[in-house]
Amino acid sequence: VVTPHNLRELYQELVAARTATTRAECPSIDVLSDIAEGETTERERLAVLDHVLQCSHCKREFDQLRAVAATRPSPHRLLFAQRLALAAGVLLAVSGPLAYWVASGRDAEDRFRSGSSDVTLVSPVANAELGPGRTLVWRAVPGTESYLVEILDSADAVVYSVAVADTMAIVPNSIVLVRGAPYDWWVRARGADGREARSMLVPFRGR
Amino acid sequence: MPAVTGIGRTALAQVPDRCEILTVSEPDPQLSALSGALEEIVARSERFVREIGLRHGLLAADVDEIFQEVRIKLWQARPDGEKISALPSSYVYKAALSAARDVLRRRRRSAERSYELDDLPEVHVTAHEDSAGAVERSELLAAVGREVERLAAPRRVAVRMHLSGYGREEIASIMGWSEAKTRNLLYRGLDDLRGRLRAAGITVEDAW
Repeated sequence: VVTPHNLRELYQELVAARTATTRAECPSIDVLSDIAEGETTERERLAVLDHVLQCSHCKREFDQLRAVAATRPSPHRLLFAQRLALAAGVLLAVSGPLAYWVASGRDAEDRFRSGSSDVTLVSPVANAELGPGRTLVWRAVPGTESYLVEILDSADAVVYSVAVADTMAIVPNSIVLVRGAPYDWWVRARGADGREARSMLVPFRGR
Repeated sequence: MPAVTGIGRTALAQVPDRCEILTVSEPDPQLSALSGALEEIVARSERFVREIGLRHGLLAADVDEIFQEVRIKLWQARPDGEKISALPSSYVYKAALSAARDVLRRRRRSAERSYELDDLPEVHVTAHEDSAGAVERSELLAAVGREVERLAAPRRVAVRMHLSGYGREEIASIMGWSEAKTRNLLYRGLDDLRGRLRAAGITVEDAW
């Protein structure tokens, strides 16, 4: 059995062992610099970082450039922070539990180490079509204050999300799901003490 | 007879014995003031870079090298009569980024020359001397590499970043993704990876 922490160690060991002795395949310093500054398209970033994250030479260079790029004085950064604060305020006002959930979300590593029990999804089961009542059902997790339910499409975009206290959610008719199209759904349970548990992503077909 | 200015008496100790020093003046106060201003303006940026760099395991020497270059660039580019302390922070930022690029390019060139001189592939020796353990470890590494490689592109990059030690906020910032998109890609990717490893006979604890 590999723990998530071991998996990170294994991956980093793998990268260290794989690193090439020549740099023929490596992106140029200018390209790394552009990515560190956020000057490229997402497609370019994905392609270049896929290499960078497997090459310890490139990763070290990228981290250096990123450390410098992070010092960029930018009025946009301030405006973004202001917009973010405003958006958070509005969210808190109109959808308290959901906004609280999002704002207090911990990072992946915390969840990695949380060891919390999973949420079991009941319906729709894997690869089934969403039932006529468009109802999502899962098992209760003791001590849960609220559940966040999300439906994602095949492009990983969230098409529906709702925070509820019950163990059931009905997808409103205003949310159009393409019949037969693949979707995933999952549930995150948040306890009063701030602890979280989550389900697996379960694929289902739209209706 | 030319006077050596702006160096001070300490320079005497660094001069070879046979070199004839005719006069050594006191430090030029104007140059000293500029030097102090330069240090002040660079130190602000350097401190920030050092803090961020440390989080990613960068060596202090890496940051030192970059900021040596920044000092030189700012010193050389200092317009006549302009106070160095009045330089905008965006100017220092550009100088720092340009210096970082120069340092990294230089290192690559130097490494390439050493490859030419010593054109032998690097041999990675595993720490696991006992053969059964080494084989098992090696198979595990190969499986992790293979299954990560098979993930769909955006999820793969999110997972690689996570396994490389980047936090979710950093991933979102680097990739320009929203918090929700980052979270979904990362968790979907990690779930995919766990499923694939399980199919390959490797159980990963279910705690993410």
